[in-house]
Amino acid sequence: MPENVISVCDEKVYEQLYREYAEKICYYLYYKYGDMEKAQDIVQDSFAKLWTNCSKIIFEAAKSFLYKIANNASINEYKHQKIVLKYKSTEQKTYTNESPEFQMEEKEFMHRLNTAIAELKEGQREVFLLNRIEKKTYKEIAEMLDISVKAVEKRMHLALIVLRKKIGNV
Amino acid sequence: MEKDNFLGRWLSGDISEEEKKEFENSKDHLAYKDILKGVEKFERPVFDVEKGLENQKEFNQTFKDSSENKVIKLRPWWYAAAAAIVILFGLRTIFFSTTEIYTKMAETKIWTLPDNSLVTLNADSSIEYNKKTFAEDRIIELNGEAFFDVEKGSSFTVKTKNGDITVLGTEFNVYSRDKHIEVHCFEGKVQVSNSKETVILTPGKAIKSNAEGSLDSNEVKGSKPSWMQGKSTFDQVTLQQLIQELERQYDINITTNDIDVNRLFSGFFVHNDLDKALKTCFEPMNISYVFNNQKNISLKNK
Repeated sequence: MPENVISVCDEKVYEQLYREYAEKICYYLYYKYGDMEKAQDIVQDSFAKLWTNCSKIIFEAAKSFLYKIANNASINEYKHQKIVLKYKSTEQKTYTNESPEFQMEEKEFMHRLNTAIAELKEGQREVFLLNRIEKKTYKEIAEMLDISVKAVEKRMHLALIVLRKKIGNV
Repeated sequence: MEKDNFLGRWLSGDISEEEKKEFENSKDHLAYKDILKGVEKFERPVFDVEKGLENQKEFNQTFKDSSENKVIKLRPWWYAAAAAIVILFGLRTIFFSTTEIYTKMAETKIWTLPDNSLVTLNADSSIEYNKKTFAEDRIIELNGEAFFDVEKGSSFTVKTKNGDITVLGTEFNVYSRDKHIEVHCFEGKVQVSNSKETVILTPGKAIKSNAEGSLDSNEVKGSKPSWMQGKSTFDQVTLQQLIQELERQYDINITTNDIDVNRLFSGFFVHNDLDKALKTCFEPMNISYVFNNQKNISLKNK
C-alpha cells in the first residue's frame, strides 16, 4: 500500500527534520538569549520530545511543534543572558599600512557595538541579528516569530536607532 | 524619516528613489553604514549539524519525557510478581496462541496472515486470530475497518460484533464500528450475515446496515477502498460518524457543541491535509470550526 502519511517516526524523516530545523532553531535561540550552549541544550530537548511523541505528530506540524517546545523551554528555564558576539578583526596583513590608532579605534568601535547589541530588547535583537547575520529575509523572520512583516520592519528600524544612539553616546 | 519603519524598509531596499536620495545625503546615513559594516564582522558560533544529529540519536535513547515518566523503584516481591506475569503471558501464548494486531489513531498497517492473505488495517482498528488453528478454519476477528485480499482456498471468515463475512478468495473491505457495518466487495464473492439476514455480494456491490439493523445494498466504484488511496469517502452517513472518522484519521478531538450530529453527509476528505479536510467536511454543512490548540477543534453553527 502506498504510504499516504509521512511518519515522523521514520528515521529518515526525522533526520531530514533535524537537518532542516536544528540549526535554525539553535541560532534563533542564540540571538534571542545570547547563550549558545543553552541554545543547543534546548534544541536537543525539543528534538528528543519530537522523537518520543513522533507517533502523535503529523509531519506538517513538526516544525511548529519544535518551535513551540523551544520557546516554552527557553522562557521557563533560562534567564536572559547578555549576548557576547565574537567578531573577526579585519584581516591581519603583515604589511599593514593602517595606523595603530586606526586599529585601536576599530577595536573600540566593535566593543561598543557589541555592548549596544547586548542591550537591545530581545525582540529587536533577534530580528536584527537574524537579518544581518543569518541573512534571513523579513518574510522568513516574520514567519519564524509569528509576527507581521511590518512588525519586523519596525523592529529593525528601532534596533538601528537605538544602536546609533548608544554608540554615539559612549 | 518620520515613518517608524523607514530604516527597516531602507535595509530591504523597499523605498522610493526620492526617499533614498534624500536619506543618502543626510549625515545619519554614514553612521548607519558604519554600524552595519561593524555587524558584518560578527561571526556566529559553529553549529555542526551532522555531529549534532549523532549526539541527538544517542540522547534520544536515554531521554525520558519528564512530563510522562516517573521512576518507580521495584521492591523485591515485585520481581516475583513481574516474573509470574511473564510466565502467565507465556502460558497464554502457548495454549491460546492468539495474535492481535492493532493500529493507533492516524496509523495504517499491512499484515500478512499465515495463509498469505493480506489485511490492511485502517486507523484505530484491530484484528485477532488464533495462530494454531488459523491454517484450518481461517477465522479472524475484526474491530474497526480493514481491507482484505484473501488467498484462494477454503472459506475465510471475518467475525465482527455486527455480523460475519464469509468468502472463498477475494478482495473486500469491512467497516464495523459501534452498531454500523459496511462491507464493500471488490473481487470474487462475499457473504455477509448478521442476526437478521444473509446477503451475497458480487464485485462492485456493497452493503450497509441501517438503523433497524438490516442490510441495505449499494454500489461501489474503484478497485480499492478510498481510504487506501489517502481519503475517506462517505455516502449518507451521520455527522457523528464523519466526525469520528476525522478524529481517527488525524488523531484529534472535535467538540460538536450545539451542532446536530444526526444530519447526513455525503462526500469525502483527504488524509494528508487537516485544514482542507475540515473545510470540505464542514463548509458545505454551514458549520465553522476553530482550533483551540493543535489537537482540539470546536464546531459552531454559522
